[in-house]
Amino acid sequence: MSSILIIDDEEDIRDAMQLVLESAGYEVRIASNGNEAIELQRREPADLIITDIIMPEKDGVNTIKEIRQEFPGIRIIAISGGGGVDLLTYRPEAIKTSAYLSAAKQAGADLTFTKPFERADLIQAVDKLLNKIH
Amino acid sequence: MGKILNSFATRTIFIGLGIHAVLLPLLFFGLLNIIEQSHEERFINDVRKYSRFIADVIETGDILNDRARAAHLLDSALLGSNGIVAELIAGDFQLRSELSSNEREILYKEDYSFGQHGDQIYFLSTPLNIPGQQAVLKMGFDELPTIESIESARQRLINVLFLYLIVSIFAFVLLSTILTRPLRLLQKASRNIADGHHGNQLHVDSQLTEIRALTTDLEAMRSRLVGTNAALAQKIAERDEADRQRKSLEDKLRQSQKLETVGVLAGGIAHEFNNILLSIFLYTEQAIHDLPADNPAHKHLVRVLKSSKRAKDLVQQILTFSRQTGASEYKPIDITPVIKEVFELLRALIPSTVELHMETTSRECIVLADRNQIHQLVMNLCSNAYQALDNESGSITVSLDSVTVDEQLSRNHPNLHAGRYVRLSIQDTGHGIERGRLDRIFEPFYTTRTVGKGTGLGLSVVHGIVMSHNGDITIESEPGKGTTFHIYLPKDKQVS
Repeated sequence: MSSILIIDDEEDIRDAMQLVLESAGYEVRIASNGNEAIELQRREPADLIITDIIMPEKDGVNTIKEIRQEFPGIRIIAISGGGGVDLLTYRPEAIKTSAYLSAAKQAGADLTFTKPFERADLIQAVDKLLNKIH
Repeated sequence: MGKILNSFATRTIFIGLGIHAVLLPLLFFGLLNIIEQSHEERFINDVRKYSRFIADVIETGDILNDRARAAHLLDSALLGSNGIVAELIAGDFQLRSELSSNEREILYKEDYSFGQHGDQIYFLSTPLNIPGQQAVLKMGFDELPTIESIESARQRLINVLFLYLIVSIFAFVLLSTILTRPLRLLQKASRNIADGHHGNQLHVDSQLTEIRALTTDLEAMRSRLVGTNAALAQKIAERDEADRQRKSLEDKLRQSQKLETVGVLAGGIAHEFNNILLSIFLYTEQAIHDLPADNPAHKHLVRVLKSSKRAKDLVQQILTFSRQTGASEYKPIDITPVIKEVFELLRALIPSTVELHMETTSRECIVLADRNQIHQLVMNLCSNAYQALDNESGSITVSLDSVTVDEQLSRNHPNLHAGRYVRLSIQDTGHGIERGRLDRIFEPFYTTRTVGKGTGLGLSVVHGIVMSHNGDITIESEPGKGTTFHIYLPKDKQVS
């Protein structure tokens, strides 16, 4: 069974995503910041990381860079907090956030998501990414 | 009295009458004097001549020896004349007439001039030339008729002069009216101007040089007044227009500041809000997944989810509008790096199944523009291009070029003037736009998309940005094949 590590500073988001992904049949672990996450990943490596980008202490982009370095084959999804940068529903105010997301991609993220996204979309994306491993 | 005298008309009258008031008495007394004198002289001449005549009669007759004849002669001398008494004195011989001795008291005194001694009798001694005798004839003549004559002449004089005075008053009034007529005309004309009716040219009918000169000057003032008024009215209109514009700008600024505040607030809240919405989405969707479809709660939760999606759209809308009204800064900037930056973002956001191409020109593309707005413009168009693609496959091409707009193009697109422009083109191989929809495509909130996939503001924002940069936007589209947007932005004149 594939395992997923979720990094987000909001408890509600961690819990909601854990619930949703466990119901889809995955093993889910959670961390509330980048440092905690890297430690946890070293102890119990996951196949997929889902991380928020704008976080206190260590921002998501740096976390992604470090994880990518240490775990080159891992799958990473970056999610953004403010404004919409999803081009399907693009809003002009999202420019700053889009810069972050593009940085995340350059740092090694495989996919980006903007909040709020739907359960089905998340599961579909995770399935796709993890199926490539098996 | 003073007020009456302040009128030119009345002054003329008063001056005329005043002169007359001085001259008429002089005239009166002068004429009267002449009349009196002539009467008196004639009287005296007459009485002397008569006395002499009687004296001659006495000299030629031998009267002194005949008393009765002398008396008869003396009496008859009084008849048919205005003599009152006659006396003949020759040494011892003394004889007086008898006719009128009782009428008046005769105070005999020699008169040399008329009216002497207050007795109304003129006494006269005429020496007689009788040889051997010292004889003299004394006669008294009645002055009364002459006095009465003078009196009646004087009365007639008064009447004439009075009549003259009356006529001259009328004459003066008439004269004053005639003299003041040009002045009154002038006054009426100037009153007209003072009242505000200064549209018509000034015209006063008069031959007097002074009046004509005044009229010319007054006319010059009037036309200058009209000119000044017109200039003032225009200045006021300009000032009002400027005020209106300023007010309108102030209003816009206030509006935009308000919205900017909302935007800042919204931006600040967005992060938080999106987290909240995500939590709602995920839990609700999980519950829907967990509940069997026949469970009533299932349906309810579906509705909860529907509302939550509307909330997401709403937040996006607010953020869209607030972003639009941030303070803009127009500077001459090179468009090329801005386009490149957006392109890099696109590459990060669009899956690799879509082909992305960028074509730039080596020529300078300096436009007077607001950097953020250009950024927004390109992002909006590229977002639209991406959404038009089916199955996330196809291509999007962004190109920059430097062009010259000719008369032909300018005629078809009134916003474009002939000149040098930077042309930004965004082409996609998406589903295209139907002809019928093209007219409304820049309308705010006009969208063919389903809920959650766009508010329909993107292209209206694009249109707004293009217009505020004095450019224009054209569309070429073929349903099923693709769409190309051409944005024309005028090159900055100072540089290119």
